[in-house]
Amino acid sequence: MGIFTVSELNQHVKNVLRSEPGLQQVWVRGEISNLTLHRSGHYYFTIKDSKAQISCVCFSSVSRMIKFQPEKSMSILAFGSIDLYTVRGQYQLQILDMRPDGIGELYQAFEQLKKRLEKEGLFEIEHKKPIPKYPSRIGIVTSPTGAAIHDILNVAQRRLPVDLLLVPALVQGERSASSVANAIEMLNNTDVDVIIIGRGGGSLEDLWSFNEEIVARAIHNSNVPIVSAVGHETDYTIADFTADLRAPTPSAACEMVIPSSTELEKYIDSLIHRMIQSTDQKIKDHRTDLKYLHSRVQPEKFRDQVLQNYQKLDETASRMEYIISNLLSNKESFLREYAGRLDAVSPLRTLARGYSITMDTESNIIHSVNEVTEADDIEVMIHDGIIECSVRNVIRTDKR
Amino acid sequence: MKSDKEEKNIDAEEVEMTFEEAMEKLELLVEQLECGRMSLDESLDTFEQGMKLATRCRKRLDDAERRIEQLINEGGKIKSEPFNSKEETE
Repeated sequence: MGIFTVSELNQHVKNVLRSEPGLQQVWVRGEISNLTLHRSGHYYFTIKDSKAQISCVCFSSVSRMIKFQPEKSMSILAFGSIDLYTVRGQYQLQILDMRPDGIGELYQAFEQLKKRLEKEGLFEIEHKKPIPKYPSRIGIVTSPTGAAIHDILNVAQRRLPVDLLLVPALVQGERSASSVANAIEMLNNTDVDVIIIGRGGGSLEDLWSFNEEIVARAIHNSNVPIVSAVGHETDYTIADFTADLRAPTPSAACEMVIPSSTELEKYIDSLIHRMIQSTDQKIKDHRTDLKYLHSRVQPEKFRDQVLQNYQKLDETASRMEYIISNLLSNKESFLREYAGRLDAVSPLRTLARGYSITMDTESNIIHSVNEVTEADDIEVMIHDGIIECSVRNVIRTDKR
Repeated sequence: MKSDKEEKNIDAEEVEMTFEEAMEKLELLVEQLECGRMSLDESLDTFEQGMKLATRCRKRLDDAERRIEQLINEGGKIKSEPFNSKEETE
């Protein structure tokens, strides 16, 4: 037996595989994983069950004929022949046909656990603890060498300075679920305000530990709020449903948990501004009140009041004087008028004009000739004296 | 450490406050000031206290000190030590 070159050996194995009738044109059932839909139209993926996997290639000549779009974790029935890819010494199934086969095993497990925990109430909103607005210490559960911690540290550097406490955990493989659950418990015995658990992107089986019940229980039992950040935006895990907050990626988790320094700065400045404004307003209000009160107790205002009262008093006094003097002069003119009128009707005036008044001896005025008889004594009053007379004759004038 | 020394100069009550407590207190004080039901003296006291808190919170933002540690389980004994990621040491 000579010495093979690698190429010769691989070629030999290839020939052996291809000539084995039991490996030609076989059906195999499994779940698609690590799928690459190449631009050339070739599909590269593995199909697997819970224990094993096999590489597959589906060239464009075949993929063109396939009526469905293969997807990650899709369960399929594949038909093809075993071949060897000599370049890598990797044996693979060269697909000749494939069709969907119900739901993938892992996906089924996921759905079952999800349904069970949901029924138990682990995803209920009332179990969700609020994430602190300004945490000072953040616990992190992830691999110390993975992409997630790298992203988290990167983002944290640009945000509010907070302490980070990493609990290194396996995030992939058999023991990863219990490792993550342990880490969560460990952090519950520290003073962290919030915990971020997660890892970078990967296949469904890479992320699988975050779909396990033990992790979901640990999250549910945690007294510290937990943010789950597993894989990429489109990856949803049981951990995501159980956690108090789901972040699409580890960097996003960091951004959601740690406030931005610049935004906080702006916010604090706005608070300062509001304090200054309301205190200013308070002082202004008090100044206005004071001004008003001061204006009410001003001494000038009192003096003014007194002077005004004086003036009013003076005014009243002079009005009184005026009224009284008016009254007096009115009375005087009345008096003058009456005196004049009295004078005009005075019998003395009539007498002065040459009239006289005839009276009997008792000074009764004689109005009619009937009141006298011949030989009566009468007196005639004229303006400058009295003439005593005797009646000689009485002549009635109305008998004429 | 420098920050420890500085902390000692601030009121004892405030030192005990976390950033979160300080921010919450600050927000409360601002609301109290804005509702305007306090006397002038109370307002001025509140204002002074609020400004102190705000300055403290702002200072905290500029404070670049941050500790990055990891918890490790060494034979059943849990201890913390500084964490240096590969990326940082490069």
